[in-house]
Amino acid sequence: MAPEPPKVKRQLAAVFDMNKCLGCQTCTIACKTLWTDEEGMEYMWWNIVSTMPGKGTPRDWQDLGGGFPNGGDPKPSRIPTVKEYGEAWEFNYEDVFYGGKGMTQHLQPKTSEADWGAQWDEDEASGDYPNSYFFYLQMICMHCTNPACLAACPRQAIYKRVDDGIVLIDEERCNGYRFCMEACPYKRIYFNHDKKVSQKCILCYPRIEEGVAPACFRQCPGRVRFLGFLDDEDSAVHKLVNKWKVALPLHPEYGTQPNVFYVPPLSPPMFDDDGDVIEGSERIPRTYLESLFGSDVHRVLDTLKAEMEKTRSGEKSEILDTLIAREWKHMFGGFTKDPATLGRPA
Amino acid sequence: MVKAQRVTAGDAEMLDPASPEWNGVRASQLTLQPTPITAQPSQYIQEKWKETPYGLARSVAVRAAHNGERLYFHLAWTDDTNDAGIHDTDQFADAAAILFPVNGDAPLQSMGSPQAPVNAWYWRPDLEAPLSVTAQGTGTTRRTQDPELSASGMHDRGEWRVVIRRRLESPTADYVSIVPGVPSKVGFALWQGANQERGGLKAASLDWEPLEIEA
Repeated sequence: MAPEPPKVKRQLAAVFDMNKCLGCQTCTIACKTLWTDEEGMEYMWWNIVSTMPGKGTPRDWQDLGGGFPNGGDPKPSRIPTVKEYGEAWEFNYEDVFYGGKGMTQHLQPKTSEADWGAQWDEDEASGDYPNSYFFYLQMICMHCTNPACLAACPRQAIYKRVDDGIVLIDEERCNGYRFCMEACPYKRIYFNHDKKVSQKCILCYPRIEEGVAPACFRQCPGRVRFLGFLDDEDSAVHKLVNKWKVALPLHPEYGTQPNVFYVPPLSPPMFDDDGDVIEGSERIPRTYLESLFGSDVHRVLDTLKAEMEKTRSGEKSEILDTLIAREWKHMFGGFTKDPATLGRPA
Repeated sequence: MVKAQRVTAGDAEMLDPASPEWNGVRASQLTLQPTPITAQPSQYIQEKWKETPYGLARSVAVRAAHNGERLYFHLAWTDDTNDAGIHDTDQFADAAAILFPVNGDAPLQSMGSPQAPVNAWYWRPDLEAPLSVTAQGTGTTRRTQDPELSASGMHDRGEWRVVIRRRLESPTADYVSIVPGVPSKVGFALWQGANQERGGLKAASLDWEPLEIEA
């Protein structure tokens, strides 16, 4: 059986609207420059946006196990290699640009063969033209209600904050055993090769404590990311997850009760052999979406389509208005303070 | 039984695992056992390792010596692979530790208890210096730097040879103090990095080994 989840007073949660994501990775870079630009962290992407269907980051993470499948015992897994996460290559810039070899050598990684990397399959579509399709999956630490990483750690180095449910690794306690990296079914934990400790998304808790939304939320040009306490009835997150139930956890069968919820992607229609639109068809196979979000995905997609139909006939849709997010301050459950107003460490 | 002979050699010679000084010190061949699966501190570890062998280094040759100032342990064990560093996320380094009760009757299997702490000297080839580890029960280990601890190791022809040494006396009550002529106790543990052994996944002494320090 899965262990009892740690008790918290409140849980911060996120909703990512997959229909609005441009795949621009501004979130990824916002996180990278803020948190993982030090030595030993080169290959880390605490936030990553993967093209789906695809292998994801680290490669094939969905096939690796971990978690508490259907609430059962912890499922053994393994630690992905640096290559599977995606090596932070050093390129032969000197040779190509300054060493006079620009006509004989192409730009390439110095350290290993370039046959896989983070985002290797970015924007690679599935299906056959003209009915090909892909969509973006935004990944951070899920700050699970029942974190498998926390349960796996033999040193209680991982804890869930009582006041907001953020899951953190105490680097003072961490001995670098990396059981957490195995146990996390979403494979969102990295190993710092310099400090020899495990590290992951911290939901920008120092910003949260000052009333500022995390960098990846705040910097998203597509207004994809919503933040709020699950029990805050005024927050968009509460409404999307609990009231309208149009945001779903990724792989709920992993059993860790993740606190990042996704508005699943709608599809354009398919074309028939004559190039005519097949009315009512969907390019992204429902079976595939069901494999990601469970059978609830049908209800959610049908709800979204019905809401869109409503607006087409001139009615108002509170769900769509919320998702469109004309006013960004409505997206962050009160965490709207301007980070530029914060003091800087000396 | 491990007997620390009194020697007159200097620190540099004794710290060298290949030094001829060690030829004159008698070795005790000690048996190690994998820590029981039921003692592994998380359900994940138990599920993952219940059918996978660990604690593969089942025997260690221990030599001990002191020069009145410092105590030296020379450990030698078979290990086909030299895992001296962590070069990938799924790699682990070989390691060795020498465990002492800080005072009297600490339980060995549970790494001490709240009343009876233990102190280990933990060596790993990728660390700049060995660490002093204190514990008061499973999962409570705390690693600290002890400037008096030093070590050197070499891997040659499928064998690790490692010398770990410390001053006999400890200035702090958290660490074990060793007095020539006063019998003490010691335990040993080895980790095989190539088998992803770390933390409680190790081969260790089943019980304390008497430690005699020649007066």
